[in-house]
Amino acid sequence: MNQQNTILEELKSIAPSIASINNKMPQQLPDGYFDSFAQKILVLAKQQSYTEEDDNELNEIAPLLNRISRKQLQSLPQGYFESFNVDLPKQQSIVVKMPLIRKWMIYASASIVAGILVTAGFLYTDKSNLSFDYEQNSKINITTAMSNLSEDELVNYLNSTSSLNIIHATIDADLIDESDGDFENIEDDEMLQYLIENNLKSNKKAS
Amino acid sequence: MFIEDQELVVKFKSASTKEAAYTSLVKKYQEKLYWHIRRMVVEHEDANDILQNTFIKVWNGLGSFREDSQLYTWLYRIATNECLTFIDQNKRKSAVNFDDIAEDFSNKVKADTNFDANRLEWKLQVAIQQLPEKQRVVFNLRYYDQMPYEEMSTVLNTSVGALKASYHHAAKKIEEFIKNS
Repeated sequence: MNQQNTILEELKSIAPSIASINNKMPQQLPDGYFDSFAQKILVLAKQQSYTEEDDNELNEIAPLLNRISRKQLQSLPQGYFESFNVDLPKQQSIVVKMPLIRKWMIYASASIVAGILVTAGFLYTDKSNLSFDYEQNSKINITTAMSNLSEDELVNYLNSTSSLNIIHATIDADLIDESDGDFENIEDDEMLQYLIENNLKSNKKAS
Repeated sequence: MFIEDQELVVKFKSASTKEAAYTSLVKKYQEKLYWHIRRMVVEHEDANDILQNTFIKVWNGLGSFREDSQLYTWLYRIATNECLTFIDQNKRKSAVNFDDIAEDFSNKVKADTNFDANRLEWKLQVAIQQLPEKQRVVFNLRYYDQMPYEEMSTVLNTSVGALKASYHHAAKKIEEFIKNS
């Protein structure tokens, strides 16, 4: 009572308007809240605390330890956890040394592929030089061109092996009349004359 | 009739009477601690959780209680720390500032089904929620629990002088709030 009066007097001196207010809490409690609260909390406390077996175990081994507070006594530097940071080591990429044989195999494969590519490129780019301009050559009048050639030029041309091969390839089988006789005994000059005359005839037929 | 605190502690430390002593202790302090907690956190559900946590800590810690302070100041200390931890956790979860928390608690007071804005008792409740947590604790312990400053010093680990100053400021603020409301 004395304490209560002291506090009331103190409040009157600081804040008189509050001193006159009824200090009973206006909030309500749920009905029967405290009826079995003690029993409930006992059950809960036993469930959540360490078991009595642990208690008995320590009592048997070292009873003094049970009476000592488990509170940490060491002090921490001020603001330790506020600036706590973990410096993680930088992850270094693992370097695996390649075996020597494997290295040379790779070099060899690379050079082969490069060679193929270069060769293909060379062939592709050079192809145009080997092409035969058929269109342009088809416009040439062979009769006129042949008549402009001298006899010596023709003989020289026909004497070359490649020339004979071309001639053989271009001979139209129809132009060769079997009734003309045995070809083995015909002189080269006569043969040449024969071929020229027949070639001219075939051009005339075509035109 | 409740058993004296010293007797309760002795009986609790004996295995055969531990549970009976604990039950008696809970029955003796349940209402006082409940309302002390509820004044801080306002809502019954939160107060119930904190009260249970408080008594579980009592169960775990009473065996090593050194009796260098009074039992009930030790109980109030546990309950107060549980309240402050709860409020602090809520602050971090919602990342709000103090003004928002004060408004939040005021709104909780007003949300009570029995709330009557015209009654001074309710105005006082709303006004108390405007105070910072520690000032609120000091005011509540002095105004509602009639606790001496010396015992309050043990509960809050603060000097008597600081507590008196804190109570003075709290009372002034509450009075001004009620006058202006």
